Amino acid sequence: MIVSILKMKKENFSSLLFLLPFLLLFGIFLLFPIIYSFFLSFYGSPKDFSLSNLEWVGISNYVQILGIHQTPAGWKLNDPSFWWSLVVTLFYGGISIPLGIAASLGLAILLNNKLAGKNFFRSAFFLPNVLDMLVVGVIWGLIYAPKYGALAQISTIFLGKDNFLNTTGLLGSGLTALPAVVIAMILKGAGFGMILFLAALQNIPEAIYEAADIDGAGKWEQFRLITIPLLKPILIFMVITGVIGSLNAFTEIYAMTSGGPQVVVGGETLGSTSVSGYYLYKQFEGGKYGYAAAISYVLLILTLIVTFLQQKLFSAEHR
Amino acid sequence: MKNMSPIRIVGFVALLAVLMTISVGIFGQLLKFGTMVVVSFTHQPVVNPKFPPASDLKAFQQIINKFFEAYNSSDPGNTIEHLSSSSTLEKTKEAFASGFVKRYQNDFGLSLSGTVNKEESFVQDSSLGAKIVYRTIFDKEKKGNADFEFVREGEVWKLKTVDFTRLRTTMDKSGKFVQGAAFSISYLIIVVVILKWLKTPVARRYDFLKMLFLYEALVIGVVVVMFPFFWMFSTAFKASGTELIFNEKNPFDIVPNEPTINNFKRVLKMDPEQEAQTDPIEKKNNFSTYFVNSLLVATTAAFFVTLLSAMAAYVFSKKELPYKNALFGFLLATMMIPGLMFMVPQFFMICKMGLCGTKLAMFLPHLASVFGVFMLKQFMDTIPSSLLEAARIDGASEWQVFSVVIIPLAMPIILTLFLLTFLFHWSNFLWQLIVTDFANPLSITLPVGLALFRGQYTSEIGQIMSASCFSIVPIAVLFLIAQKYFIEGMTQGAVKE
Repeated sequence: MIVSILKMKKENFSSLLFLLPFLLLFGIFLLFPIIYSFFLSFYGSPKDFSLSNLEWVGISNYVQILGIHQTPAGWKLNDPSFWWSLVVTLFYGGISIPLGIAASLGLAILLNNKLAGKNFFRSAFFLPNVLDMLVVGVIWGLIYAPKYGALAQISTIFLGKDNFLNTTGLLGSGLTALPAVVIAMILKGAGFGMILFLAALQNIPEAIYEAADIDGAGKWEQFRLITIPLLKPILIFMVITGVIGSLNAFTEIYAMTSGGPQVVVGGETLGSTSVSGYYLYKQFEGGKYGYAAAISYVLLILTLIVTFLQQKLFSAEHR
Repeated sequence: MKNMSPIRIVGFVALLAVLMTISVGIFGQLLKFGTMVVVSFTHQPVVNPKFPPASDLKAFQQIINKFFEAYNSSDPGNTIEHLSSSSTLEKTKEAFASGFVKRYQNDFGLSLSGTVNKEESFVQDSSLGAKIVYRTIFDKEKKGNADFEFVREGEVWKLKTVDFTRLRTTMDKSGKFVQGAAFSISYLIIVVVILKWLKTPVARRYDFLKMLFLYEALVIGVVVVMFPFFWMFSTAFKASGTELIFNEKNPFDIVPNEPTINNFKRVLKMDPEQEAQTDPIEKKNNFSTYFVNSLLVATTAAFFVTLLSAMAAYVFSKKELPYKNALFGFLLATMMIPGLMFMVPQFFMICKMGLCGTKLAMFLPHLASVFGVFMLKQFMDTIPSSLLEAARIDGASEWQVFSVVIIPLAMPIILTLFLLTFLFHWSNFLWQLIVTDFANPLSITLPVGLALFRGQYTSEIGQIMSASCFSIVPIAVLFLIAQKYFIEGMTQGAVKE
């Protein structure tokens, strides 16, 4: 008995030793920052970009982010840019997630045939996934550029010199800049979802479709009633990663639009592609460290809420 | 089904036409690209690829305008309707300004001055002949002689024709051959497809059409997805100032006709024409240094992440520890938090530790990878525990069990994690951007270096693109070698869930 306890202890001890380096780094760099960020969010911004002269400001960062104030014209948000960045993030996710799923599912369905050279197509579509986001963003920024960009040049033969792609460029207008970023990102990332969908499609037994054929179900009905439900786990995964991806979006915006072009919404001048990640970076870059920490905290809470809602939604659908 | 036949044939012919277009386009561009790379490394451009600097162009334009003014005043009746002149397009800017420009400069005593930026000179202004000349000349690759003809249209003079007797470069000489080869391959494909069509029984020709359509759709998809990278490579070989000039007749023809490797030399600071750097740090401040830095950071990080994750995964999968399942669940839950939220506190911690600007700072906070532990645990769960027991009975220590039994068995997945982590740190732009100490340029990594370079040399697109190659090419090659690991690793988390 004693021997077994001792052995147990020894086993636990060695387990701990194996786990320790990872846990230590995890605790220091992932767990502690959550607390530390909360602590930082009560401090103001140093005037000289130094990290030591932070001034205690209490909850005023949060008041600034979330609060409203009265002006002669009525109640106004203290920080409209922050709320706007949430709207832009919502749009970004709202466009990129369905389009991304559609593109990757479409590719997967095309590839889910008996094809020679299937591996070639798989690799070719997947390749852009592994390439550096910044570089891809820079390239697309130049492709979209008006007058001299590849897209502008190609569009002139079909639409003449005066077309929108040649005069303003997709990234030059507040209306089209965000969708243009999304398109570039989908062309970069569609291969990832494609592989997932393809694997799932190949796991669906042919017999189910044959049975449906006999029952007289058309192609579309088969797709809607058999394929989609069987792909649901992948769809959920794509939505969840898409949400996290939108909240994390920064590099593509930095490389392609720098948050612009500016649009005027409700009397405020706002960046039409300034997603929350980019807005956070801008605050941080401007030396508003405490403010940035407070924003990350608000975003963290929002993320938790969204994740919670997603789980509720998806687990309810599973039943 | 018999009445379907004409429609089928029309469809087949249409698909053949599309196939021909795609295939000529793809093979033409790929072959031309291959030739271009060889030519760019083996041949110096026949004429200096440097276009006349923008200041000269403005001057050129001014001269022409003044010339016409003077011409108008010397001819009060305004009877002259037509002018012609010729010019030799040579490599030096003086030579460029010769021909009719220099001649009229002497005649009217005009001085060269003024500036115009590169982009602006692309704006086509129909009232200014000179700008059109500028455009036209460069579109024609600035070689040989040019004959100009100007025609009066009311108050302004307009360029009517430019006639070139072109010098033939290696690219020009190989152009016909390349095109011929592209067409031959395409015809071959067409013939094969037609033969297959004829061999297909009539009843199955509809399926054949569908397959053909499918292939064409996929190929077009690949072209769209790959276009940006092909454009990047092609632009990287374009001479400074010519990056944004397209083939007017066929904008899909994006491979330059006068390639140069100067862009690569410049981003590596190896171009003798660049101002000599005496400062040893400034000399090293180029993309070869950034490349080595990125390689160092990504490799070190990947090694440690893999090691730590393997050790942790071993515990979670095979060893006993109270509450280990709860702990694992908690770890997984933290994966839901977007990494951006950690940026500010991690930055503060790293800087308070005095690590800001060091290479260690570039990966230290990302060493604890929950994803890695998850991935390795999934795999280790499939290793039978009896193997470990056998090793323990043979007297192996815990570390020996781990290093001799577990690691070799889990090698494929460990390799996968290594590659994925390498990739993550290779492109970990935001974090590397904020911890980089720009006062010490030798610590800059590739993505940060590229962002910095782009900020400094906004209009040097060729150089930006050649700098991008340093990030893209190694990863693309790595992917082609180890794509199985990449694809399986990146998609595993989703499939297993």
